[in-house]
Amino acid sequence: MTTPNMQKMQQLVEQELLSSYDSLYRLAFTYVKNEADAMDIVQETAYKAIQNSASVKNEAFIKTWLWRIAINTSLESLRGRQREISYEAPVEYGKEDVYMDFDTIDALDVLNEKERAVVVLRYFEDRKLQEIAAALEENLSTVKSILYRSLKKMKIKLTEGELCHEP
Amino acid sequence: MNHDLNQIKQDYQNISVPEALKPKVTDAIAKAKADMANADGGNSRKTALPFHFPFAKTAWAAAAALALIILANSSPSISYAMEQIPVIGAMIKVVTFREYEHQDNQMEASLKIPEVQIPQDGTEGNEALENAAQELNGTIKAYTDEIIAAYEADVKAAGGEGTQAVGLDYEVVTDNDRLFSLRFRQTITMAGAAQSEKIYHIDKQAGKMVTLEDLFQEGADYKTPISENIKQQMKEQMAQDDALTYYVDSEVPEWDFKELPDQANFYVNESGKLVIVFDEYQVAPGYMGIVTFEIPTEAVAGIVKEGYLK
Repeated sequence: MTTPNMQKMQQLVEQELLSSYDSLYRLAFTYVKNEADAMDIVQETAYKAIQNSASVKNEAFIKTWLWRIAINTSLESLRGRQREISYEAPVEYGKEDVYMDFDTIDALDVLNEKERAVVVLRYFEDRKLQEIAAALEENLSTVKSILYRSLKKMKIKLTEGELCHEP
Repeated sequence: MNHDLNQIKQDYQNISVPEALKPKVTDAIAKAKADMANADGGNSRKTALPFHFPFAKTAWAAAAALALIILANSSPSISYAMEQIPVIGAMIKVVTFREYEHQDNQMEASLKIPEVQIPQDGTEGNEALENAAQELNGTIKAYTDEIIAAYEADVKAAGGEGTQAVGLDYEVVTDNDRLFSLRFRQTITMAGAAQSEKIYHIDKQAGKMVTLEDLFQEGADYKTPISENIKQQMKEQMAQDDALTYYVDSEVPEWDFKELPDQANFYVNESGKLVIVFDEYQVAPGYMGIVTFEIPTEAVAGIVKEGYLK
């Protein structure tokens, strides 16, 4: 049964999806590295989010909740891809897709799934550490140490101030 | 290898979001709602994932094609260049007459605009050929002006937020005793990339610009035999290779290739065979790119004019 409150939450989730689907797409893209899969992930994220919108208790968490779904869906997709690899031989088409130069984005490849999410959300989406902690269901100090570790792995040197600076 | 975080961030922000994504998201929302309504209230979460929308691929191709009509910011600078290109062929030479370069944020254009010339050095002046060259130059100008105008309009419309790269290059694709053909390759890169071609031809002997129709006897039905041959080739190729898709006998009949368009792109290859060129999305999904079909001369025997094909 749907209650008015559930309907309202569903509406808010829908609004948030429509305003942040492009961020979700970029986030997914850093995992799967191709347009088609990233689009599928956003689509699936939207579907799951609407279906489960009743489980969101506080509307302030909608955004971080959507990131979490998108990250998990990306990981599902990557795992699914590994399983499929045996019977999905790469196909050579006449024309290659035109990709931008993602050398630098590939620098994220040294990071594990969680580290990548932290770096992307903190530096590229300019999210607060608090929000990231909520999205990943980690506490704040863990997120900070993930961030330190990630930058070290990527061999990026920042000053202390830059790291902890909040927008 | 050290990377600058800002550089990575920039590349991250440059990940362009496909135009087709928004309708996919709204579809997914609508589908999720519909599935919930169908699931008798409580059991909504039983719906299996992942799901797939029918014809997703086709719809994507359509959306991508539409996505080309959009976008982007300041006044492009035009550089005129009289760069000399090596002489191609004996009678007609091509030079890059003008280059159009523009870059602003994520908007970028690079066009090479050629001009054909008939060398006057000693050879007997061929007035008809000279006129044909002038006509071709006029056509080139109209064609490239259109591309530039569309790009400039996009730049203006996007107000600095656009992402688009337009490129235009040319090559002489045929230059034999009879035909001189100049091919233009246009690439528009936005969410995906779309390529299209235009090929212009001069009949050197007749001294005039020609189109496909002119290769055949007047009033002859050249479209039917060529179209039928192409459909045949499409089916054969698809039967042989699962990775190939053409719009023929497809689930969406209105997308199917039916007949050659009036202004079909073509050229004559080195072995003197007619080659029909289709732009991306014209007869196949976008991933197939520009597709070409070599038409066996026997297919048009009896209607083709002497001297064009072998």
